[in-house]
Amino acid sequence: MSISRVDFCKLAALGVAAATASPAMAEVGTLTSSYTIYGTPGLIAMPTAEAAADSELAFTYSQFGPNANGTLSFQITPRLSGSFRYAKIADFHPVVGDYFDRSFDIRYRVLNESKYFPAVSVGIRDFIGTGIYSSEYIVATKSIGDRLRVTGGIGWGRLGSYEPIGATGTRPPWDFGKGGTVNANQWFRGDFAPFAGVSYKVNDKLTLKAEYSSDAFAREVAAGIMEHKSPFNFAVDYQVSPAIHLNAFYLNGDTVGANVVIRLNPRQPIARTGNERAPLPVKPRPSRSNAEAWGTGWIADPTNETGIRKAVGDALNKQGIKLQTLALGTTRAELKVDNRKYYSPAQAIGRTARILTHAMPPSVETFVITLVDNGIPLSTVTMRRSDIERLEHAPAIDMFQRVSIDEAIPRAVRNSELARQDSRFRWALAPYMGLSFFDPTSPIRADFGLKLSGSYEVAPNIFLSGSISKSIWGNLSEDPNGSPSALPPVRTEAGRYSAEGDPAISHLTASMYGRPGRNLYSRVTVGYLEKMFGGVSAEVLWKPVDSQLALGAELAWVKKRDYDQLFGFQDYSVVTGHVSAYYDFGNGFTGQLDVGRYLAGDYGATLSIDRTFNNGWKIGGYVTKTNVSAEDFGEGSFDKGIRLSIPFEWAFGTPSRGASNATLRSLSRDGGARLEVDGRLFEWVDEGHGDALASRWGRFWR
Amino acid sequence: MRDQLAARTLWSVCVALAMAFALNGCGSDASETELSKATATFLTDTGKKLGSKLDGSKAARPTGPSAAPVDPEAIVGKALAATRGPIALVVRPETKAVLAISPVGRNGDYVTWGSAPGQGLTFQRGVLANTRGLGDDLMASRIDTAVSAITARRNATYKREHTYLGDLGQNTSLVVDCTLTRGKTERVSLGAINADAVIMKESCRRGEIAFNNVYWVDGNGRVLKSSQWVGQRIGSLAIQNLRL
Repeated sequence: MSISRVDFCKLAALGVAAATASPAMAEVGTLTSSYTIYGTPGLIAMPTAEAAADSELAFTYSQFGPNANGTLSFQITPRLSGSFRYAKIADFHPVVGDYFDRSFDIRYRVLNESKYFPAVSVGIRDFIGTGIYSSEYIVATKSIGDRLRVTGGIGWGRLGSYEPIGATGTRPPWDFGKGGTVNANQWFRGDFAPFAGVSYKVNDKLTLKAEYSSDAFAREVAAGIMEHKSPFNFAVDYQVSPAIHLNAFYLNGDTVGANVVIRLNPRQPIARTGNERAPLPVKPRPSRSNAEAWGTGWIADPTNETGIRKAVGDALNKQGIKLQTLALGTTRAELKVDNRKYYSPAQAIGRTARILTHAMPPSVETFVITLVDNGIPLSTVTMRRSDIERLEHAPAIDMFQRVSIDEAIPRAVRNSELARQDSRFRWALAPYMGLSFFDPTSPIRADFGLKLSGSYEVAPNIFLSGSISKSIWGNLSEDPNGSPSALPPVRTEAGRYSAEGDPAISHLTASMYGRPGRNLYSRVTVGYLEKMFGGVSAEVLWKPVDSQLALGAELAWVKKRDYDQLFGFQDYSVVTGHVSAYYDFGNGFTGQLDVGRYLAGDYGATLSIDRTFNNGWKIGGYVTKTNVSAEDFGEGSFDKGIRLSIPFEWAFGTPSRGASNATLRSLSRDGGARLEVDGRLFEWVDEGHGDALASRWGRFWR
Repeated sequence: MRDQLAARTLWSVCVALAMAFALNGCGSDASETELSKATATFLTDTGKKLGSKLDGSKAARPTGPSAAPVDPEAIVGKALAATRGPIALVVRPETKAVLAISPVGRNGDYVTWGSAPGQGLTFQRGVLANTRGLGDDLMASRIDTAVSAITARRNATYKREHTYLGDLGQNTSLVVDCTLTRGKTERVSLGAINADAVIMKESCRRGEIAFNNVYWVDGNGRVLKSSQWVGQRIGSLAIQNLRL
């Protein structure tokens, strides 16, 4: 089965065309780098119709009067942006005292700016949550020249609280409840009020902003923690570096404040790429007329094959690639390689092919290179040596058009394939950091310590793995009792695990991977799977090498571990598992749907959507809804979160398959909790398949 | 009780030892240690940069593997002594970083030169065709017409096509329009090179991107020295052959 050439040519061509814009992502104009005190693109407290640059990710921390908030905003598409905010209002409530609030915003560019008409956007602030910032707006922004922008709009809810000029129906009263529900019944309802503002860009570094605000800060004023003397707000925005902005502002004629904005964009790597050592150049074969060199007599002497295998293995090892097998024929060399270094699998293949031009006798014309991971063959790239020789200095796309990418043939892994005895045992001692967010009493908890980990390769596809961690400093354990839960406490006792598990066996497992048939992959893991659960977990995945769709199923029986995280178990055990569908929409978005039973025995589904970039960035969100009522679930009503994966290669410029992953979830509760287990199939199988090869092919000759 | 105490002492010793080497991360499993290592490198680099800023030294620090040349003669002598074969010096004028390179591979008209720290430059009969290991490299180029005009030392107009990796790792191609003009003749004398050469000036442009290359070409069509543009982020390199 050969990969559909049309599809991947399209993909690669797309790579060529995507120098400025990604597919189906037209520029929308009227862009800004200015963020509000709520961490959204806009003026000071008021929104504008401006948008951030596509795929910009901004972290903002603002402080004004009793308010402090941290916000993460992402320009999901050129027109659509979303924000997640965690805010604290000090002394807000006579009983509760400090008030903590999580909120989500969303905004959409409806009309782009034209010569005579302004850009128009519609937005909703705080659309799930307790609703203290709830407001909706329609706003227009027009540029006058290159430096001046004028904004006007009308707002409802909080943005309709100062001098309203009319009303559309009535707005239900503010509900200081559990939060987590979409409060659609109040959108664009009740009083509305106008707002306006201007921004003037003095130079590349400095922007001045002024606005007439329609937010009366009614609740803060009522609580006696802020004053509202004037609707006019003023701000200065200073760009310290392209990534960092500082804002100072004066609000309500009474309050001063400041914020810092850190802007990252997957399209703008921090480090320049490609500092790794240059590859070995191709060694062309002698002229065909040299009949002696081109002879095939060498195959008769088995020491030749041993010598070649050792030379290739050593050379690959220096490049961070592990040779698993090498089989030679007179005109054909077949290899299995494990790429442990390069984010682009094509780069590993390209380096392997160049090494082969040095080691293979001239009669070997066909190179068949199979990518393996966890001992499992994933895809096979077949190429002609004459193409390697001819196209070494041509653009990578030329070579792409000459190779074929197929599914690797599934067959049993042999023990003899353990190529290098010396690399079977691997260990590491490294610092770790654990974070826990959004506990109502302490928004961020951290734990810092050392982790000793090791793994042993019993067979190419069977691994023993374990790690021990020892905390050095942290306050994760300050909350040993956890918050009360109506469900079996499968996740809410994290504090107690941190307190008693020191040192802790973070995991201790045996895992085995396999290829049960065509397009099929399997995993079985036994042992102490994660911090809180141990047992057995089995998984199977169906994924053709060039398919946008993959299907998987996972089943586990697990028992709750003792708090000290040594070898003992507690009474609670559960059968948990999911069937999953993974889909690549082909436009930079991927989706995943998992349906099944969760750790507390609840049934439900998780839907995740990620925006993915060819350089490895992933930004997405997920929601889990199970048959647990909002009351039983507790704060947040259901599990939802944002996840972010930043590849090391992007951040540091050196080749690496690693990434820094973070998940921001609204409070960790017991409903909709999933088992954590290393080596889930999709994440690494997908990395060795057709799309990963094609979309990162530009590095073949790197 | 005593066991517990011993265990605790053992742990403290372990942790103290571990702290000593491990804040940096150590071990044979690179995937586990790379983040801490990279972070440590990043912090050290930032510290150095800050240090140099505090020193008040405004001069751009060389980012390349070797520092600014103190004595060009000494560098040339050292480079010539290092090998008996061909050798050249590459200078990045912006940073004054110097690399010594020598041939490591030949494929038809293309000769790839490598440096000890691992950079690679490939020339098509003396004209830079691609680079590796500089960061933001020129990945490939189609420059056959340019190469034949430059080595034949004649006036010409043509297109060059360069390929780079974009920020998402995609291939991006840049096609520029170039004019090649023959200038005066000059004696080139450095290292083991001593020959008359015609100065060939190449001016290329596409929209806002414009660059100039200069080649000193001898009667055999050999480029003795040159200044050649790599790309927007690297700028130009000065390449000086010491022995051909």
